[in-house]
Amino acid sequence: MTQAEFAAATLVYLDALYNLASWLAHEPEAASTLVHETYRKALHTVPKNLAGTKLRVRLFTILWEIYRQHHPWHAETPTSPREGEEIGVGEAVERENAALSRRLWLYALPRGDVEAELRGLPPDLRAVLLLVDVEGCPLTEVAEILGWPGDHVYGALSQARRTLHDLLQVRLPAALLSPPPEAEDQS
Amino acid sequence: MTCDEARERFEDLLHDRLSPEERQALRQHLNECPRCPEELERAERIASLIRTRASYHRAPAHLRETILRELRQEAGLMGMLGRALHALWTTPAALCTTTAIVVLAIALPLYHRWITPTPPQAATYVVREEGLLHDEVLLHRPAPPQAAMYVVREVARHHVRLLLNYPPAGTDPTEPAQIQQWFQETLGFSPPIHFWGNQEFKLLRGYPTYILDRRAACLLFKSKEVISTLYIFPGSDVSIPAQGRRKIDTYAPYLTTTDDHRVLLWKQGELTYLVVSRLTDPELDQLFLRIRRP
Repeated sequence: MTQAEFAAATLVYLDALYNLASWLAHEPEAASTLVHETYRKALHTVPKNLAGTKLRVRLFTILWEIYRQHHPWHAETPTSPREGEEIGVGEAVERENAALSRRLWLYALPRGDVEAELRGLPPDLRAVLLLVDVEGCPLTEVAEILGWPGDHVYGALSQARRTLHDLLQVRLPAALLSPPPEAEDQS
Repeated sequence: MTCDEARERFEDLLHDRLSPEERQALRQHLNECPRCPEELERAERIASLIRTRASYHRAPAHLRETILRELRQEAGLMGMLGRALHALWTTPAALCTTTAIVVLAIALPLYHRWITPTPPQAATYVVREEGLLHDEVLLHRPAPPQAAMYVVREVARHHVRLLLNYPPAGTDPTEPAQIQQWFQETLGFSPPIHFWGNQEFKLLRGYPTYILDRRAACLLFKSKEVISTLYIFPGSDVSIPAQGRRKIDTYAPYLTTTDDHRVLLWKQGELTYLVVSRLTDPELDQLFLRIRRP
């Protein structure tokens, strides 16, 4: 692969990298800087014969490493899974809303609520959710990107989903009384 | 199958990466297990929520341009380096010096290895075993299925994300020449696009993206407030079902519905084409003919 071909191959992942960077860094300027640094490092460290998912994994790995260098928010070990932990409030609300259909549940939540709770998750849990649910990365790739043991990813993913689910359940009754989300989205 | 084994396969189930046998085994476990169905439902619910309700931030145009400019500069530097190396091998005086340096560079490590005792073999075997295991894991990972429904769901999700975040951050060129140039610079193939919009189907924008981990051209058309997306990517491995074809003029593309969207799928040579839209079937036929006819 020539340098130009390699450059073109990496550009395909620009939006995906920027999306993750935005969710990690919050500010557009910070996200742009993070992605820019990722490309600079990739140009000099990534083998030019990498392509497809391997290239994607390498680019996400670089981005995550740079983010962690600049945001040392936690220790070396990722957020520990809380398998089996009881969350009282979420379960109580879940029982109350058990009759709601899945579709209503989804459409009742304003975008702002979902995004606020997603931003409130620890960065590693946010990253694992975005990589799996938005980018469609297999768990083996996520483990490689985040530098985690392979058997840890599902636990973290499950914890992230459970936490987000419970936080959103708490918001649900208020969301049902708010104006329809469609009107909000059009503004 | 244990609960842990089942839950490790949930993601592959949600992303259609399981073989029919694996899917059957997982479904059997789900029918028998009192807790895993709830876990799977929560996973589906949250995954769907994030895909549809969390913004997808697209890179702003200035960032794209900056990176593209740096990539080009880097490619230029590599070209200069290549020419310098070429000169070293074609200039007689420099050739002798270069040859001597290369011979020394090869010979010295060999000499060093020759006079150094051989390290214990056990350590070498451990490394080799780890390498083999790693390779085996990679080799035995199932290749992503390229069945029509898998492709259709992938583009439908992409289309929904586009609509939810429309217009995307940054501006994309709307001039066909600019779009074509952008495609040439980034895709690695030239999608033969004949239709660049008209009064009925207005071209909104075009940009490169990726579908099934491969580079794809993406064009957005608007007709009567309905946005339709055209995807073109190399897809010789994509199989198109014989059933479910729609007769449109002399053509017979595959037509299906997913997530309330109509999806047309067809192939032209080595390229796979898909249109995702909520247009009515007759309107979709018109758009298809505009795109398909040379």
